[in-house]
Amino acid sequence: MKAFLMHRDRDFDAAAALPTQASELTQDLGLTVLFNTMAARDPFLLEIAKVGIFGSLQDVAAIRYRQAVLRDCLANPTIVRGMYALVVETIEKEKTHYWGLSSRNPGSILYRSTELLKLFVDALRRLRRIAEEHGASFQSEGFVTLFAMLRRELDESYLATVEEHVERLKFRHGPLISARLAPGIAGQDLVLRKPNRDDRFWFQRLLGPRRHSYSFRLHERDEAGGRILGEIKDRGLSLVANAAGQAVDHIVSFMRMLRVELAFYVAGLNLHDRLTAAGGPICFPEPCPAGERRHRARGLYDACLALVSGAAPSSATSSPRTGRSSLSSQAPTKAVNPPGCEPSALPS
Amino acid sequence: MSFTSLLFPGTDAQTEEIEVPDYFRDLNLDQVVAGATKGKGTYDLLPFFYRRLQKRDDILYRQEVMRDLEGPLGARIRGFAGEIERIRRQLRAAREGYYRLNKQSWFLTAAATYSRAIAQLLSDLQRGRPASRGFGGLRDYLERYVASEPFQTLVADTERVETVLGSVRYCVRIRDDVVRVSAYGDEADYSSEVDATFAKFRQGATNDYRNKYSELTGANHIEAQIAELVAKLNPEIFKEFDDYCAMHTDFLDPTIDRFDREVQFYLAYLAYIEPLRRAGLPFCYPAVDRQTKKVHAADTFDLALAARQVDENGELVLNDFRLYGGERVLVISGPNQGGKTTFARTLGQLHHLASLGFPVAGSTAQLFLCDQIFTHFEREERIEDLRGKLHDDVLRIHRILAAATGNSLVIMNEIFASTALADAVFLATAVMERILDLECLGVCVSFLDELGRMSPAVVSMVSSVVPEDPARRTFKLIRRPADGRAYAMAIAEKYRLDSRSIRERLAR
Repeated sequence: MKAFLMHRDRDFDAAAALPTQASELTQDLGLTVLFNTMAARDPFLLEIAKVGIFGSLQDVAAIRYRQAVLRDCLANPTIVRGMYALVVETIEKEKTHYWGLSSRNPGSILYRSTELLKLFVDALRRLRRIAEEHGASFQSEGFVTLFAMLRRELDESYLATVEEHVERLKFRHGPLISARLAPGIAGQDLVLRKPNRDDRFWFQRLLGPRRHSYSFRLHERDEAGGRILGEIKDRGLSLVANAAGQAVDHIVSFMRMLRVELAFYVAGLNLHDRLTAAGGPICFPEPCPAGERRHRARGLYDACLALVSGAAPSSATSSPRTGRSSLSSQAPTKAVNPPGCEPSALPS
Repeated sequence: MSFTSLLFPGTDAQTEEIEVPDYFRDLNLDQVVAGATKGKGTYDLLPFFYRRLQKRDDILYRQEVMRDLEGPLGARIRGFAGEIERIRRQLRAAREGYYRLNKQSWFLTAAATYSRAIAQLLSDLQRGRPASRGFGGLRDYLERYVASEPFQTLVADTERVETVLGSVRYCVRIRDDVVRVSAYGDEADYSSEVDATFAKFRQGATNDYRNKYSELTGANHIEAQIAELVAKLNPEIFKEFDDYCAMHTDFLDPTIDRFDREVQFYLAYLAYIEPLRRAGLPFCYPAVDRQTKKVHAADTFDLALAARQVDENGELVLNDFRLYGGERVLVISGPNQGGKTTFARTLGQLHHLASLGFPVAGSTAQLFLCDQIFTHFEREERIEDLRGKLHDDVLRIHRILAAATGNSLVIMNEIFASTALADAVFLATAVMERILDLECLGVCVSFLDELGRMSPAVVSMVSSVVPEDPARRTFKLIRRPADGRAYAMAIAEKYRLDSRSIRERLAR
């Protein structure tokens, strides 16, 4: 499952290396203020803001795709922030469940995994509800696709299956382990099995032949026997514990991916809030293919300066220009680049 | 001719008890044998290492086997030996186990390993085309054995029982202290179901939470109880298994059992010399003869010393010797610590190991098939003997000379070193005369130059020093008359105390 909010067809690479000139650009354009505003003290947002700003898009369609997503965010800031908070909260929960001393012991892996999966089901359900309740107010292709996916993949029957697993993984009736005979008449190829459902009616079950089986009971003082039994059980549970442990990993990795995809927009919301509070006007620039060299801007101002002073600069000049030359600065002006529309305006 | 032994041609295999030869310690052969048989104690190989063969053909029989083992067949035979070792372990588990089904199962496993190993060995021998009479005989024997009815029955029964037992599948449910065993009813693999449910969240690589477990052994009361219940669930199959175990009790063929032990004798020695070969030391199959005493060897060395040196990455000096015509006795002299004793040992080792049928240290060798080997090496004086050292020396040498024949090898190291020079010369000359009378092969390490000049049958060899630095030994033994002054002259020249240097200095 993918979110694809940053790119139409691929994950956003949060670990991408910054361009070599990043520090010069940051200094020359005074971007530190911009980054800090976007991060709002969140180091994760700071990282993503930098990678996003420096990872310029080259393609008009890609820019428009991102602009559309950002428009949805500006229109539904509470919902987007709410989603982001939910995702972060879920990721943080995993860290609160420490591994015990025996992180390789199937029993402790299973215990930790089922506890976490129980919490995750709740988070997944809340995520789907957001999609169900607020999906209609989102128009961008990115969000529409994401919400449709959440509704489809995390529907109630799926979550019920997950809850069934969480319950079953506790093995209240003891695990059912199949085996073949190895030399020594020892069990080998131990595989945990899901008991078959008994489809007979209750009276058939009562009257019909019981399933062919024999049993013995461990002597209560047989500690050695208990240990051996535990070892057999561990072997049987090893694979399913692995599957459960990986299930947790999978959901956490899904949440991390969602966090990365949402973070840049949350940072954009932060910037938007601060600029608006300072009274600075904001617009979505119209991107043109790089080769056309068309530039026209009006009412430009230095966003970073505005952020520092807390007010839209009075020196904002109106300097409409059309033509093939690049923007020349007559006044202390700089292109304001709301996230998602910076690339074609940034000098390169 | 039917095959019985890989060590002796024909059926006249010698099996009586044998003691450690007297000369073993003196020649450091005890070290060689201890090194070669290390870790092979269960095969009881020592008697084989003690017993020298007397017939040339018996030695050739072994040399042929050894050559086959040095070829591609060697790895195959080692593989077979490893299988037999496994079978013995499995049989021990079958014998010494506590739990009925566990024991029976190890017996079945041993039989299965045995059937496969025998078939493999036969095919290896057929394809390997061994040149030796020993392996040829074994191949012919195996062909008959494999075709025999008892072996065929064993193979067929083992395979059948293994297959039906292999088809058994069962389920165990462990709930608190109750263990319930039932037949496997096609229940679904639950782990993969869990896996499939959550796979859609997967974004990249994940952790591996699997633990490594050793195989279960079946050798404890819990597993044994489970096994008994599995048997109860599958009564026909386990009845067949029971019958099988009752019918086949002892399957290891005595000839193959014996072959397995005997081949270890060869493998042990080959493994022992392997690191020496890798270090570049030469080994050869010696020509052995009872007719001629014109013995010789090139690039030979002390095996025990070499093993130590290779271990410690030390240097080793190779030596040559040769007796012509009527020459019978080597008298070795020279400075102390020059390799004389080592050389004497080397000669003894060569003759002992050659008569076991082994390749020996050297690039070529012609050796004498002697009837006995005698050594006389200096011993610590023992207070309880109540005899002086000289007395002891004389007694021991007397015993040797009384027992030696013209076909013996006598090695004497520093005889009569404890007595005055004149007495030593008198006694040693008498001993030497007796040896020359016997015409046996002799090696005599001595500081008495007189011995080297006693007869044309005596050859003198001298351990040499570096001419510019007489204190340094080359450990090379050179055929040269001992003039009794060579070493003294070397030292005198070094310190410019020879007559020429002194005269020069006085003239100035």
